[in-house]
Amino acid sequence: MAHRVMLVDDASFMRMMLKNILVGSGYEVIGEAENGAKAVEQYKSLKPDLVIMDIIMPEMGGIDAVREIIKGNPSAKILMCSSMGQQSLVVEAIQAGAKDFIVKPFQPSNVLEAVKKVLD
Amino acid sequence: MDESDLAVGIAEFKSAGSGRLIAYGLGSCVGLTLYDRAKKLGGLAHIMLPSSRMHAQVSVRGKYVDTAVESLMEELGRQGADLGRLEAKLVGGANMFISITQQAVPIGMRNVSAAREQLGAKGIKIKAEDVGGSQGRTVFFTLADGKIEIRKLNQPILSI
Amino acid sequence: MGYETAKFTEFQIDALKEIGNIGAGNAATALSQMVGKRVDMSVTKVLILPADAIAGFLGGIEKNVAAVHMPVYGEMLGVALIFFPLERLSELSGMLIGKNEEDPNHLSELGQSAIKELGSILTGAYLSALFRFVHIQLIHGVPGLVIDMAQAILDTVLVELEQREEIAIVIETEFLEDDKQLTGSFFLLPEADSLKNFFNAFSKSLGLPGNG
Repeated sequence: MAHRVMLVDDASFMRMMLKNILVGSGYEVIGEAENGAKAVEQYKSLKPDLVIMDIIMPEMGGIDAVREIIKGNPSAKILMCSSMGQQSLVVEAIQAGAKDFIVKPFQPSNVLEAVKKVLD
Repeated sequence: MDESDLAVGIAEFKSAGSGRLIAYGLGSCVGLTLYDRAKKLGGLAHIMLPSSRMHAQVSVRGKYVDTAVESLMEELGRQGADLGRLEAKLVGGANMFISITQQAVPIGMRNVSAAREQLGAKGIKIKAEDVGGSQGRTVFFTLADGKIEIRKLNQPILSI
Repeated sequence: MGYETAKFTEFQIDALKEIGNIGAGNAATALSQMVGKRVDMSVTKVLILPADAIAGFLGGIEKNVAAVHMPVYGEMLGVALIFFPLERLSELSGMLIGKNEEDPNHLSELGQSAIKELGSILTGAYLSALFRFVHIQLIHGVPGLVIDMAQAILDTVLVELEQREEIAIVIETEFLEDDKQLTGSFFLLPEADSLKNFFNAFSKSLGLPGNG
């Protein structure tokens, strides 16, 4: 059965790129959110196997969203997405409970490798 | 722009009795004009921020709505304008950047509100406005007749 | 408050040029990955511009330009902008989203998103090069896309920074893909007090005494 993934990024373009990479490799994208607040909401009902989460977003950013999701689901698997130059925030996100990170723009192979590692 | 045109840059205010006063590229700034129709004397202020309240000393009077209006009125008064007869028009105060740091009311509209308040407090009627929206404006103020013309990207010239 | 742009010594300008090269290198790599084709780059200009020269540099006060803008925060506050030539915008968008824009004068929602992300990623490329030199923590925020008169965009940035006198650190880069060429200009406008910190950190990293 395919792993169920939720994508969180304020850029519809980024969600599209990720979706293409994931679906092309047999993953199922079961939900998309454009900010941390919506991600926290949707997580409750969707309970995905994996969340790929952007760091900088309006309303609620990725780090706060990770904290909220981990609070209610300590075993949640979250992979952070960052731009070059945001690495200090990645550290914070991992301290908040995220498992790993990928850097934009994505190389499909890097994304798939990181996803596989987190889900194993 | 020809010889009788005078550009009013950011945080500046100028007065004239002929030709045109021009403020190029008003974004969230508000362009405020004051005009004495009988004397054909007027001024244009290109204002950045709503209030000088937080600043003990204001060296650049044109930067804030309250100090700009006061100073422009003083200048017009010195040149013989009848301050009781002034008519005002407001242009600008757009909300061009939609960012996460957005406060409840964007700075552009806060500038416009402050301008309306200041003018009200001075008893000056606002004859016309073209404010808000999300586009920048260039405003041309003709002293001979008090005409205000506004240029926006991809729009015909608007007269108010 | 006046900025003496002459405060940047020739030595510091050379260092900025080095940062510009590294940043542009990162940016070209990033752009290659986004469009799926090899992109080369050359840095054509690195300079410090006072605010009243910016519109002229972009083609004129009323020149219509396209910019992705975002706040910069962390140890330095300011606004970063990436300017793209307006007439190439729909072509750039089409390259990113993989299909032609129906209306070249009105980018699709996906296209706008792609351009904003490109601007954000390029900004990250330049800022991280800066970080390697001056070790100042810099984070860029949510990007926006604006298409308007150059001076109106600058006007709005100055209001955001609440200062009428400003300087911009400018890195102009030419991106080359096949026989196609695109010029992107990165602008960083630091907020007043941040600029002082920047100078000091900059001088320190060059082994010079800080001179504020």
